[in-house]
Amino acid sequence: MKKIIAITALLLSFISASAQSGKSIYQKYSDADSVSAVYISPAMFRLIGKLPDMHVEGNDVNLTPIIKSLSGLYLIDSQNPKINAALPKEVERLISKGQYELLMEAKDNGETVRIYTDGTETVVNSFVMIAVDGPGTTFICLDGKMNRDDLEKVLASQMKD
Amino acid sequence: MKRIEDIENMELDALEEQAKADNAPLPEGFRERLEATLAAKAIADGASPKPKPKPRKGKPVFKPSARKLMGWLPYAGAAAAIIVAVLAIRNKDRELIDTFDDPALAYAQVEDTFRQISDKMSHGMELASGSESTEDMPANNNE
Repeated sequence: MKKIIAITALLLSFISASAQSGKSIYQKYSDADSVSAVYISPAMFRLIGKLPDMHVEGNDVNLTPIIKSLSGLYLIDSQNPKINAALPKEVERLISKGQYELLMEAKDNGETVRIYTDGTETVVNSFVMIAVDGPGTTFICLDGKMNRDDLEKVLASQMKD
Repeated sequence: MKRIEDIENMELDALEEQAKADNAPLPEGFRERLEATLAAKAIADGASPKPKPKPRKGKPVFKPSARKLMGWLPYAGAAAAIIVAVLAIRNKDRELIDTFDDPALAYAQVEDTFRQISDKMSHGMELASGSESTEDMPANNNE
């Protein structure tokens, strides 16, 4: 009897521990109504990496190193009210399970943007952004071994003047 | 004249007959006291526990006890956990399909995603710089 309880508890803890990731959130919501979703696999990132050096339009920043370091891109753009309500909770669960730290939070006129990163001072293993803006919610997750300086340079280069 | 001892030894029917024959008047308030006593007896009989029905002969009726049901609970939990685990693993193993076949299109999407992230970040920066400039403003502008 005790063994059964122990095995059940182990199974449930395994399921709950392995449930949350950018991939699992993508799998859960990508096929829903009023949702547009983008997935780029590690294989596709390897192919992109073989293209000639890519530069950000109008900038000298080279995207190639950061693209070569990516292993997955998951994007969900939802206009579905149910999913809009569920996505922030899913992200909260994902954040609470990992070693994520809040990089930025901005709230303005009902729009909320939160950006989290998981990694070390020099390497970012996962980058998560959730933006809730009125009728729409956007979830972006980048997985890989990104150099933090390279990532910051790319993001800074694309910021509005 | 009958003695009390004789009256006590008489049968109920004989007593009743004697009472009718003597036509003796009832003591004052006797009827009310009698009715109150009978009512109290009826209430006392109603409150007393009913005797348990005797067990019926023949086939025994199966009534699962709560203890027996609780005994099955771990097995039911284990079965539910295994089903959930199988479903979770099946869902996890579902292969994701690349949105793009063309690396150039995928690259354009990556660039667009970085632009989206940058837009949101720059908006946050604007808000932060706006609040900083508000903090720098003097509290009293009349000077």
